[in-house]
Amino acid sequence: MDTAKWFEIRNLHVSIEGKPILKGLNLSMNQGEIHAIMGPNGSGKSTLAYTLMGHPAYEVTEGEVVFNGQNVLEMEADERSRAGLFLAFQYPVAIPGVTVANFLRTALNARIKAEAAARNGGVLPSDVKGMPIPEFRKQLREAMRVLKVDESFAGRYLNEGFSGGEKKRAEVLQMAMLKPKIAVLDETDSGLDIDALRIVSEGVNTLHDKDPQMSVLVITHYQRLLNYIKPQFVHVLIDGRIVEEGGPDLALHLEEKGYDWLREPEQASF
Amino acid sequence: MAIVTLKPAPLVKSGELTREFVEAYAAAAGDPAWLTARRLEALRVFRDTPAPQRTDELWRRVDLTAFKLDQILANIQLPAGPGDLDADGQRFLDLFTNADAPGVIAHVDGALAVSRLDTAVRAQGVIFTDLQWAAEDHAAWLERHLMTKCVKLTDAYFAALHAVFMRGGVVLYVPKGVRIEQPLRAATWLTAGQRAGFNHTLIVLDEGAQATLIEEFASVSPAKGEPPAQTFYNGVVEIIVGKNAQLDYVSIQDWGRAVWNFTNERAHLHEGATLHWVAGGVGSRYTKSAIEVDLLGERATALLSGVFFADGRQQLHYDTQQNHVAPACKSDLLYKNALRDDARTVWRGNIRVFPGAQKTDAYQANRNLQLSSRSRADSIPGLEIEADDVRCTHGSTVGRLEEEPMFYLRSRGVPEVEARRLIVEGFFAPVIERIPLEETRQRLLAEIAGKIG
Repeated sequence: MDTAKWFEIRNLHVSIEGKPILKGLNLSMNQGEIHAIMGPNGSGKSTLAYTLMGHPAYEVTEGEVVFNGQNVLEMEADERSRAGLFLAFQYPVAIPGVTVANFLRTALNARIKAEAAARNGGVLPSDVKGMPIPEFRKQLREAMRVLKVDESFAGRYLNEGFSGGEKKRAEVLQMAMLKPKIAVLDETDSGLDIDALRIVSEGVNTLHDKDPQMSVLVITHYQRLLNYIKPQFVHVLIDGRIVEEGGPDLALHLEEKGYDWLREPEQASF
Repeated sequence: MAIVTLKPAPLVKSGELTREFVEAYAAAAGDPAWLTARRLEALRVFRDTPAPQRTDELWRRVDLTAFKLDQILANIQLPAGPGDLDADGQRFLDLFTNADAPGVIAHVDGALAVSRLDTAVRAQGVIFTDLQWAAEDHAAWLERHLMTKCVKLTDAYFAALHAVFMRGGVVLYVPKGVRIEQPLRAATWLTAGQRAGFNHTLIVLDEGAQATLIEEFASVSPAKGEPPAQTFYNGVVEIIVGKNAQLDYVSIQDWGRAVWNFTNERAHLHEGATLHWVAGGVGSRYTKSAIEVDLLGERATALLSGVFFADGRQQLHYDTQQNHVAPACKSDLLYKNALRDDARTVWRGNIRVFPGAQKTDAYQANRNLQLSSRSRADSIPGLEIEADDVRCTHGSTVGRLEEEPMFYLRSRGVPEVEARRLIVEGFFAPVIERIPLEETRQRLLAEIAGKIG
């Protein structure tokens, strides 16, 4: 058995309600790399995103996901997040009555408390109260400045009544505050006009510039997002498996030729 | 074939209440003659009022089999000093003793524990005291208002019973044009044991007056495994908001789990009056509250908000009534319940528009969030409209804690319990934001968080 990479998905099989979607997916990433997964509708892209984050509806029937020596699949979603995994949702959920600021502070404090407990043999020391409010406000204001998000954002209810562009910016704002080690972007370009796409992409690039050790996995149907967030590696996902891998040129090739040339013959001839 | 008439059994048995006992009770309380007479009148009404029955529409969903009213009434104590104040009670009382408020009234077991009103406010003619003191110092005024205009002896079984034993509580009068900017505070604590509380809240705002009153009710819960001595609370709230006056009234019910809580609460709004009424309920074993607003003068506005969280085997029942008597009034009710475990809530709301009450704008909504599949929320809106130029709408929903918001929050590192707390807090946020005091908001949020964690 070869030594584990920093982040590695091995032979991943995933079903939803008994129906197999991922059928032996393999993928590995090193620290700081930007990878893209491209694939047509129904190939399993979102299933991969949700499975990596630990959504309870996705059943892993076989395979492993190893991150930094930890078995990701044994962790709850919140543990995965605290370990450094982040998913920017294609369809972020509205949480009525919970402001962006309140939510982010709760999420950051959960990290601080979990880390303090881990250092203390699993028991939270009584003097750990979380981040002081002024420090939190400073960080939030800085992140909003970098991402060109209006300050009124902080007081709005999370994703409630947000436009498509605002939702995606809120996702990147959360990413900026939570400082993940791996960010998975699930169809972040969907529903965005070109201006919004540019702003969101710039946000991701800025975060990557600030923390070059952060890895990014961009999941997308179209090549256009990859004009803004430039991957070093491109993987093509069809019918639950990676069928082709290459450099940035592969994305351009797909843009030109489509996906059909990669399908197995019996599937291509319909 | 014989015809058998089944006589429905009453839901509660009161036992025998004697005139002699009530006279002794009044004497021990030091009542003036008129108040004793009113108690005896209440006793007569109470004896003539049939106990609630399961066949009564308002009591249909009620399970009172475990409630022993007769035992409680048989052991009712003559007014005496408060019982031994436990540590929880002392902590609760301290919140009010040292509160930064223009006026504070606090009772322990019906006995006055704290009574304070800023001299500057008092100098403007404001009365802020309890029933005993008002009966002495403002006898003629109190006699005119006490259960004669708003809640009446004949209104309900528990209203009549209340009037037999009413004691403690708050009497607030704000004269014409006087405005009290900061919230007044009132608190009631019942010590452990078989107790009964009969607080009476009477608020009268004269023309153009303005005030805020935040009233809190609490007692200690029996320790686990301890046989719970039942506590009976039977309160009445009477609110009269005069012409162009404005009242904010917040009542937070955080009774211990041995309390059987029955209240009759009604507000009268005169021309151009505004009432913001927030009711919070997280405690008690059982609560049955009738909350009514009568819009009697043109262009009066009532905003009614409720935040309730039932867990364990708690049952919280709220019957609300928005009576539009005068034209061009507005009423807007939003009651929110969260439930977990085996808890049960019932909200029955009715909007009634009387003939001639044109240009009525009335709304009622009840939202329920079930955190367990065993809990049950009944939501029963009703409209009775006897005018033709009105806008009346209602909405009620019962929802579950959904998987997607939970997953979204957890995917950001928020542990399950915290995620649930955030969602429930968010559910209540629009109502809690209507409580005009940060300290009270925080305490209510802490109670809610405690029920989730």
